[in-house]
Amino acid sequence: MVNYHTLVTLVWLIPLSPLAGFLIIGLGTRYFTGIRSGILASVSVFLSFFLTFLLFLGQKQSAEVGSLVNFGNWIRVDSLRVGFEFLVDPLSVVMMLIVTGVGFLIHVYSIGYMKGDERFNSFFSQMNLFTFSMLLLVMGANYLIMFIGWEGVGLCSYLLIGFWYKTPAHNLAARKAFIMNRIGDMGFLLGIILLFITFQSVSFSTVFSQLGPVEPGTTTVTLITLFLLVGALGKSAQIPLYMWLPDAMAGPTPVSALIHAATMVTAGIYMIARSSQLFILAPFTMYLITVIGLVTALVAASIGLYQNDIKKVLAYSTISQLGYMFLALGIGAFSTAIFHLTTHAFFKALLFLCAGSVIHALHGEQDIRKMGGLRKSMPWTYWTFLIATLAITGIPPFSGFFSKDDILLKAYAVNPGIYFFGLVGALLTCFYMFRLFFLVFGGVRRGNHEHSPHESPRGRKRGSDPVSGFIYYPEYL
Amino acid sequence: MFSLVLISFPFLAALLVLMTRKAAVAKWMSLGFSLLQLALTLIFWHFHTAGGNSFSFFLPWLPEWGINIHFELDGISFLMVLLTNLLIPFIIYSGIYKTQRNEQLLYALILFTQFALNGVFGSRNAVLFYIFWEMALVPVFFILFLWGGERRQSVTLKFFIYTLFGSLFLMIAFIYLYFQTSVPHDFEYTSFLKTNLEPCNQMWVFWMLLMSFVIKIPLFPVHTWQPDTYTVAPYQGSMLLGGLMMKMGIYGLIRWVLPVIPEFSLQWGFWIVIFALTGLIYFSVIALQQQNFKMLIAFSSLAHAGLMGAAVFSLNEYGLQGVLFQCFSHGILVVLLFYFAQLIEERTDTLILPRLGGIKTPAPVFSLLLLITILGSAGLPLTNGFIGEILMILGLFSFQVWSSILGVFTLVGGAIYLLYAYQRITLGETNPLTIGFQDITIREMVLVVPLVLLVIFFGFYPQPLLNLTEIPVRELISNAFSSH
Repeated sequence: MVNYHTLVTLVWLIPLSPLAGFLIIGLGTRYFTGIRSGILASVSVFLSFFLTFLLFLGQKQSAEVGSLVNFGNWIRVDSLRVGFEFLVDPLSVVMMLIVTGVGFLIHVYSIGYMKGDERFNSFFSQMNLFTFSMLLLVMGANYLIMFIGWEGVGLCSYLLIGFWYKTPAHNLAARKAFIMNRIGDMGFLLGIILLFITFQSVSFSTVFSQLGPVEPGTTTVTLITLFLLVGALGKSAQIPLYMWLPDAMAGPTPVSALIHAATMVTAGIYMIARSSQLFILAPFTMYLITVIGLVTALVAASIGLYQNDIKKVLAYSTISQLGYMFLALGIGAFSTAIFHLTTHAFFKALLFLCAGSVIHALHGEQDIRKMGGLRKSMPWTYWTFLIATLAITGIPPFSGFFSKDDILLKAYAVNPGIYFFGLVGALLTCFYMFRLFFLVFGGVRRGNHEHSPHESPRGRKRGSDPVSGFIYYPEYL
Repeated sequence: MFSLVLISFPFLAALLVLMTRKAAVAKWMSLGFSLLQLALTLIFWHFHTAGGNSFSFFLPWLPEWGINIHFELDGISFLMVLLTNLLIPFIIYSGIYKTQRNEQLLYALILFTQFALNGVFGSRNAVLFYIFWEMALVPVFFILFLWGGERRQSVTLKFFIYTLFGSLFLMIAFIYLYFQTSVPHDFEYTSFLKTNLEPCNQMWVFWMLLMSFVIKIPLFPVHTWQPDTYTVAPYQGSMLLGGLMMKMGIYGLIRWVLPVIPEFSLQWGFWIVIFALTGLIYFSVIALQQQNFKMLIAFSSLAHAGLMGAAVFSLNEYGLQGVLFQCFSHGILVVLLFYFAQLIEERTDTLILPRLGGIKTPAPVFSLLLLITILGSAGLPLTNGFIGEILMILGLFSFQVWSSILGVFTLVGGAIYLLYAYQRITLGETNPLTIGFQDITIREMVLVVPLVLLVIFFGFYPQPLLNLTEIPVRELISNAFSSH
């Protein structure tokens, strides 16, 4: 077993590995074409995952709560001192595990999914760049490093939504996503600046250590949290900045799974959870978060009832689940929010990967009214999809039950009204998910019969199998 | 002595280039000279950081009038000189494979501009500054008039009238300030700093100086010469104007307005910030409507200038450091953007965005490099554009909270119109015009790649430039504003 402290000093390897993958694939286009680039990209993410996993094991044994690692200066002007600092604590390690773990599996899945695409290698270099940015986001020990990752994932999302750039609709969707994110980002940036003006620092530890004497409800803290909230709303697609996420489904399905379900969209939740000490001092903001979360959860779920595109249903479902996480944040149950984030990352990624298999099997058909009866021809996908559906609807032995139940339980303790609406949302989830499930897999095949559906090739299955394995283990946290 | 060598070397180079017979020789010779000048600057930079040497040079010229040849390169000046001498070789190189009329004259004029700009940034005597300031206008005026596109007569006239007024104001203000210095009067910068003006007189000197510099940047509402001029000028002229000449105005504000008339800068700064930010919003909105890529670059440049102008009057270290850093990064980015426009026009004969499209398919590398440039201009973190923007917004925030909220608009607006341009140029299906679009060649990469690398390098590691300006900016602020 490697020493935990040695591991912490090696923490820079975790984001560097996908960055190296991005550079190698991006620059060596001549040598890393086809399958090679896919393998290299997956290996680079696996390396990060492996290190993170060691870190996770080490952390359980070690008594330390968090360690800060500094890798030199970035900006130093007057009293603004920003370094490339990383923070390794339970929260960031959980997030790193999700990013690299789910990320690795989706990389493997993509090797099969993207097969034959003429820009195979640039897809993988962009996926690696995304992983790098996302790791910066969750590992940064100050708000500006977080902001680098924050904008970086926005950029990668832009590039990957518009990956098939020849279709104007995709480009529009990509630009819409980037700009709506940017509007949120500006709120975040203003929040960071106000934070700096108030506390003379942007690093988490320094800011939070000064919060002791601050009275709850102070205008400055409320303003800071409101600005930060704008950023979180944009990134996590909450009302009113949610419209970009359904359009973002224009991207390849693995991208939807990784960026628009498992990782990037959860950045807002991570950021608020990270700043929890700040947010609990701003009751008004917390109240607002609760309301926004609840309204988003219900509205998005209701929209989801009417969608006929398989990916759109899942997109609205993501927005709705993110609403639940916001709800949890708003009532002060930060770790519950992260718990739901974790379980959601796994089951929603699984749903998307299955949806990708279905879409591929039906040669690009996304309209669920034209599907049906796929249970026979795609038994494997049928079962995995069923598991994920059970998980998201909160049926007991699956992870979704524990996390969603926890949210509702905590909500009940705060206000039975919130609990009631939360429950309505859960019922809606159940309805639209099973509507989707039965329309796709049950009954008989509608639509054209020219192509016979087929089970996904092994490469793709390999990707989705372990994901389904993961969702049984909610013992975390 | 060193500063004299550094500043006057391009003048000699210009003369030599003018005397050559063959156009090809003239072109390559000017490139060689400008590279030599860059090397010289980099060596000086080493001494500058090592010893804190500001290369002071003093030679009495007309002592009875207090006019001296006085150069000094402190951090602020040196940053500007560095930017000038860095960009000129690239600006020269951008046209080196093109055949233009009377190239000896063109390249001599570019080198002459370099000489004048070095002089503007290094001068510490008002008359000397004024002479260099005027000299910097002449070559651009000729470049615009002799090598410009359609409508060049009227556009040159407009440009000329604007800058003439600017210079006139500058001259009157300097002469007035001369008489306010202690007896015996002189034109030295340090004497100007010590003048004690009556408040009522301060006002109009302030406005005169301000107008002369603001026309040059330009800020709203004296900007109307800029979009036309940028569009009509040949590419090398646009690069000179957008990359370097605009920074003369910013430099002038920081050097000759803030420390010389601090009370009024403090008192009226608020209004200038309002005007500059109004311009920022206004130009961003106009940039959204542009269908011509070159015009879009011009308006994007105006929008950035708005933020820079506002940040100058935030009067704190963040704002000023941010402006100076942004001068540097904006210079690099604007030269890159104009070069991309040039390449597009050379290949397709058009700059109308809706007529382009799908370039990414035949030219992936070109598109990638364009994307990095555009993201830099939109201020994405880890590009040099971000560092300047965040510092300026931080400066504005310390000054007035709402002004930074308006300032942030450059980041959103920039993302909207620049990505629109990127999308129209590179994405979508190819059309007959763009189907044979040649990817970037090695010759073109020689210009683009180093600059793109600088965009990323200074995004990761901005400290060398920030260190350069740190002490002078701090001194400027403490000398001028500490008593208030």
